[in-house]
Amino acid sequence: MLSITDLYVRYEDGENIVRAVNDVSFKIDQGENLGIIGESGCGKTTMAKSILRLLPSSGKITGGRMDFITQTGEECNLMKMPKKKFNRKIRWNEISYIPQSAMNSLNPVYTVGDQITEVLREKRESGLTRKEMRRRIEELFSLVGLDPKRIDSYPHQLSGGMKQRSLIAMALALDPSLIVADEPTTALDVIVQFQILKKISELGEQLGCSMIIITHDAASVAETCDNVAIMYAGMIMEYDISENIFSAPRHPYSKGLINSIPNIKLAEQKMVSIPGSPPSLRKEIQGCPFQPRCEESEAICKEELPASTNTGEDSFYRCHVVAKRSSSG
Amino acid sequence: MPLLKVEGITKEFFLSSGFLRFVFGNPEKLRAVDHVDFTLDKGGSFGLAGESGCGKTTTGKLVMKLHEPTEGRIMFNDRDITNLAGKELKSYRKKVQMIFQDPYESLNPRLSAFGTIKEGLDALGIAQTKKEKRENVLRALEQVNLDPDDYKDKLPFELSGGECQRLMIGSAIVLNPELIVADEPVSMLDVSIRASILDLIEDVLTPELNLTRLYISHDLSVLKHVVDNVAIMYLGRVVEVGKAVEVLSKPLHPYTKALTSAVPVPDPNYQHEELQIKGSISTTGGERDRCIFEPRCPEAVEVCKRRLPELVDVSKSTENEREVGHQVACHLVGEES
Repeated sequence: MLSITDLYVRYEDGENIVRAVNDVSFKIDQGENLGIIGESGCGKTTMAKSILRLLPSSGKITGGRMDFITQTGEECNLMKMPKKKFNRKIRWNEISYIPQSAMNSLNPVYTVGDQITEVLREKRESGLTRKEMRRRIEELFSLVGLDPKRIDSYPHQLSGGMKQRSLIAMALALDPSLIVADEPTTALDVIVQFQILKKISELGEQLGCSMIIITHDAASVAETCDNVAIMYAGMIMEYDISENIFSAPRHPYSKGLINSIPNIKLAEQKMVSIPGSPPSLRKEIQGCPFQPRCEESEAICKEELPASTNTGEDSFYRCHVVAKRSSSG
Repeated sequence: MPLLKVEGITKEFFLSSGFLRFVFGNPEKLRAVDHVDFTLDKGGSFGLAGESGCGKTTTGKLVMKLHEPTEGRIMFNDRDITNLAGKELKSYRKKVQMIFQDPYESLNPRLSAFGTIKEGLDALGIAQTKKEKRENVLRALEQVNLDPDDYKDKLPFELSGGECQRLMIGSAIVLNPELIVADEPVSMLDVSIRASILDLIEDVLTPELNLTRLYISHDLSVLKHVVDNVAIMYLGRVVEVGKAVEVLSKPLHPYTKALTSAVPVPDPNYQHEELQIKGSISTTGGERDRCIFEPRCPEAVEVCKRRLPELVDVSKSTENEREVGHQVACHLVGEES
């Protein structure tokens, strides 16, 4: 449905260049959930924003293409599409966005109902009357597990979980085929987080829409996503179905990341951290970006950027050492 | 020997401000912490856990003496610290240090790493001479694995999140404290470096400085890996307390059960139990006529609506097979069952 190939995004501010997204390719099919896991500053939010054209003016897409198939079966190149057409046809209708920190994403002076009405009204072709809009919002609220009485509440009258649910309702308002959710549960308490994650997976099945979930919390991805991409320094280091990523990660960074997640269900577990810290994206990186922190690195890792090695139809990793090991043995 | 003993501590906040209402009316109160007891042995570690708004941070602040308790007392080294003032308070401040949640926000952006650590020494009048101070600061930097030659002149914006948090720890330990209160020490940090910060406190600094640690966190899986004992709080009250491993893997209180089964598990094949809990967290003014968790409790029975359960040691009742010290505040667990 959406396929992204060789995407590059950089931020330019005078002489400073930040290479935020480098050579990212992935695709997502109808009804599939993709989790993108990465540490702060790895370019995951930039990538999401570039899909929705929400990059600030200093951010530029410098290469790659994005192909998208709409619900009516129309194929389009998202990057070539004029801005007006994108806003009219794609935004909210086809792809919607749940921004990071739901707490601060709602307008405090309008009721949540008004804010969803705004989305419905913007898209005039839906041509709904006031009553129909209201009914639609009630429907959306019960879909995400909110009391329809809450439509006339102001954001400050809602708890964190309720605000998050109303944002999900807003994202669903026009039946999009793809929802991009940036850290949907990060600021929430465990019980609410559990309920929201469950709702997300249920809605995916119920409505058949796809989701890209961007988070640093690998455990919540394990619960909701079919496929996982591990991102580091603007690159996808490993891409596979989530069972493989969590039970048998190939890339040394994926391994390190999985080992550093505490699991409450294990009696004895040693949390291990990865030494060092992620590289600055301001400088051009020679070789593999993970090399300085990698225990398995060899001479070639300093010299050359590893290319993707395919392990299946849709799965790959980027690592010289693992590639060499698997081809020789 | 207990270093810290918290006895029946309560903290109330006034919700409605306004002088006249305060004088004449019955001001609306929020009971953030409601009769909390716990003891922390010298060299041990204790965790306060619960959702936001459960009073865990307020409890930490009471221990730090950043708030005055409404009721109850806090014993530190067998001395009541609730009414300390002046010189005695200053000496208490040296012995108890806090590590805050957000290292980026907690550091003064215009102070170098050296200055940040030195500030505490200046404020509390430790180490008189310049040379002595310098030595102390450099030693603290080394202890938190920040090479003094590289880091002493750096400003916070030049440091990564992990380095900022190390610096915060450095400025806490330079005063040679006995007790460290760590409020969500790793929740703002990336997953891949969390373990290194916790290891620094637990495996390096604790044996070296003989530290006692009070952790405050909502992250149960992290707590399970660092603390000996844990208390689960709900609406200002402790609902379950005991050995961390036991409380978190074999919980008895319905709230602890809900909390532990909701924690995401990094395993795609893991099947969660159905979550029975209803509604969401509310507030309390400290009513005693029913269990605080009753409105959300899936197992609630008649008695829960009539009486507030007290903490009861469950190791005595044979069917539970829990270790001594495991206490639960629930009518359904304990003597009656």
